[in-house]
Amino acid sequence: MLLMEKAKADKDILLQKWVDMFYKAYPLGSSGFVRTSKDKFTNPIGLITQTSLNTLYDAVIGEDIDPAKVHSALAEIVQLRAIQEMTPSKAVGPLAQLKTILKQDALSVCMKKNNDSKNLEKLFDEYFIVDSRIDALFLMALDLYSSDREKVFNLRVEEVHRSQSQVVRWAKLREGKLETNHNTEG
Amino acid sequence: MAKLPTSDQLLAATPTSFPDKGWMEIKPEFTPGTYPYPAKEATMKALGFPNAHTWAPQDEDWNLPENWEEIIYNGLKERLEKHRSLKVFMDTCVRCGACADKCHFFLGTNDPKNMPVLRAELLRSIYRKDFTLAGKILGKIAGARSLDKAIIKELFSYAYQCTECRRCSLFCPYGIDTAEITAIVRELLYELGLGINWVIEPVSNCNRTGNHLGIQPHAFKEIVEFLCEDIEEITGIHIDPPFNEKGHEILVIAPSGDIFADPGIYTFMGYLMLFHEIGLDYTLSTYASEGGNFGSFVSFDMAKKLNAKMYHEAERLGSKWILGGECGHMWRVINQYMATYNGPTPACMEVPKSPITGTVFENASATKMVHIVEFTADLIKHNKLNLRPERNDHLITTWHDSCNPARAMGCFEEPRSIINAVCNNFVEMPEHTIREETFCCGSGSGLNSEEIMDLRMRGGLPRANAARWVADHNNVNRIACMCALDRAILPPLMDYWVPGVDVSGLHELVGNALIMKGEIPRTMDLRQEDLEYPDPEVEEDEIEENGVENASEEQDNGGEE
Ligand code: SF4
Ligand code: SF4
Repeated sequence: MLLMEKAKADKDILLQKWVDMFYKAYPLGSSGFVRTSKDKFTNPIGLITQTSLNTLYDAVIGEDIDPAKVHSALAEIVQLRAIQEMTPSKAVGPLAQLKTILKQDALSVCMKKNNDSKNLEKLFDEYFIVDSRIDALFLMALDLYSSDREKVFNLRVEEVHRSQSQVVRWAKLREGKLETNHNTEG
Repeated sequence: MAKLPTSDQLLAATPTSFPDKGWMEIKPEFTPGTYPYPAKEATMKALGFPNAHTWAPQDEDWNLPENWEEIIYNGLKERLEKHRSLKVFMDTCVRCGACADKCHFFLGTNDPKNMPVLRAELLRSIYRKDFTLAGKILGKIAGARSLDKAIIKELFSYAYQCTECRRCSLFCPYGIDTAEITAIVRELLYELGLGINWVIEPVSNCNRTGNHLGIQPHAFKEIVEFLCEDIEEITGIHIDPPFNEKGHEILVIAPSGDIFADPGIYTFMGYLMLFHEIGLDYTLSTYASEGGNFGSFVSFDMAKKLNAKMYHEAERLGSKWILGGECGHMWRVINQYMATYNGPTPACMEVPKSPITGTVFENASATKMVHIVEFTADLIKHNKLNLRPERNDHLITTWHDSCNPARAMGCFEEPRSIINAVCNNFVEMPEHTIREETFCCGSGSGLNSEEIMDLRMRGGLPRANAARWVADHNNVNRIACMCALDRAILPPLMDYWVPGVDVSGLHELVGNALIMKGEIPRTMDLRQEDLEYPDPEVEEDEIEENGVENASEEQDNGGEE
């Protein structure tokens, strides 16, 4: 468990790097704000990014987390990015960048310290597990992203229906399409 | 083998929406979903706008009138002379930044130009250049810049990413009201013939028929009658509201969204049930058929024009005062501008006095218009209503302080007293997101058009985020509000961010809880959904008693009329 231990021990630093990858989508002039403001309610972008990635990080490094919780953490961050004027790759791409972070800042450090073949083999095995977990998250994120976009389109259609529901009801009645036993002409 | 870029390279190469340059250098980009559709030339012309023309935000050339610089210069000059506040707002900002992170659009986009200080700075930079000595001499160093067409585009982009909610002004040590600055910018843009369809269509409809959807009197009346049929289905009580009748004490004017749109109709049904139950002497009007005023999202003159019908109708019908529905911006116009726009009130009008409790609404002595939430809160305070809050027991309700009635009118306690009387389960959203610090729904002031749904989801994020907190921690499943735009805007916002939370007006909840004389035991709420705790069956003799009482009351009313 060399790699996982390293990733766990250095969580604060590595997680922050990962979070920053997501923040890169925001303009430099204001990304100081998402980073520094810690208030749950006045910095929702920061809150959602931090809390979601915290859960996902733990899931990736093999902590025991309820799959439903992992799914909802992923759903929250994707839901946020899906409406923020980004290309799809920009929206969910940084998820995969955890691979880069883990390779550079955990795997390579571990490899230098444990460079005998037995340990190296173990390290690679561990990394492949992590790597495939990130792939799984990424695939889930694709589905979530596209369903969020569909959701937005549906909201647009539903809104039009809602905004004139009674006028439509009236028009249908006029056309005699709606059954009614009350004589409204009375 | 062709060389693929690494994922890191790919992501680094994908442009962000915000390049890294000084704010004055960054030009706005108009991609679909980021701008509201432009108003039609013919509609603008018919309303008498100067320089109405065909244009599209995504086009390079907006076909501005040739003397566009002069129009902006003169327009700004005129408004600086007319509104002392504007001059003060232009001059006093010390760029302290207190407002910077208070705007929901900034919090949802992180675009620095959505910081109120920068939003205002867009106009201020022109003001400095042309109207201050330092700006004339020093230019950019003094934060001044000369007009170019890109600045017009920028003004358009950011004036339509401000809902005029005024949250920022609450935190500004000088009380600088960015909402007023936005309103002026929008006025100036209209002078150039740049308007948005979502606002101009309702304005044009209102101008013709009195309401935003352009519904004509016969249809208006029949739609209200549908709602009465629904009420009868639920309560067994037949209501026949008067239309355009002279000689009633009160003229009732609701936002038309309450009559035409879901879920506003349930709120309107609540009004009708309440009026019936207390025997209010009122009339509806098919001419003053709109409390809302999209003209206020265009210009002061347009707001004034559309607002005039309220007093005209009160005068024609001889009403003593006006009871207004649960609306937001309607009340901003009434409280802030109406007395100057359309005053003095017609001679037949008096300071509103509740016929049931005798309370005199001194706060409305200038406008003679009372918000129905104040009216009902007063009824409840005086114990004038029989209520069964258990009928709302399937709901865990939270309260969204709609910006205009809350922040601009100070209407905080009244709605809460009503909710507490009609619901057993009420949960507040976290502090700093309610009362005067309430977060905007994200789409007010004419930004609730469907083509900018993405933008609306960003702007509404802080509100939704607080709602999600109480949904997650307290199982909240209903968010109530006192604004018709909120009732249109919050449903998609909740659907996206907090699915499972429905939206309603306050009087929908009142209508549910209201025990009416002679009603059948209720098994459904106003949405005709089964009640979790239906009313107990009543003994037969009780029904008879109630029935008789009710009939004699109706006769009394008939006599008065
Ligand atoms: S809080 Fe007021 S003075 Fe400070 S930057 Fe904002 S508008 Fe200017
Ligand atoms: S009025 Fe509201 S939307 Fe406009 S800048 Fe201020 S906080 Fe933002």
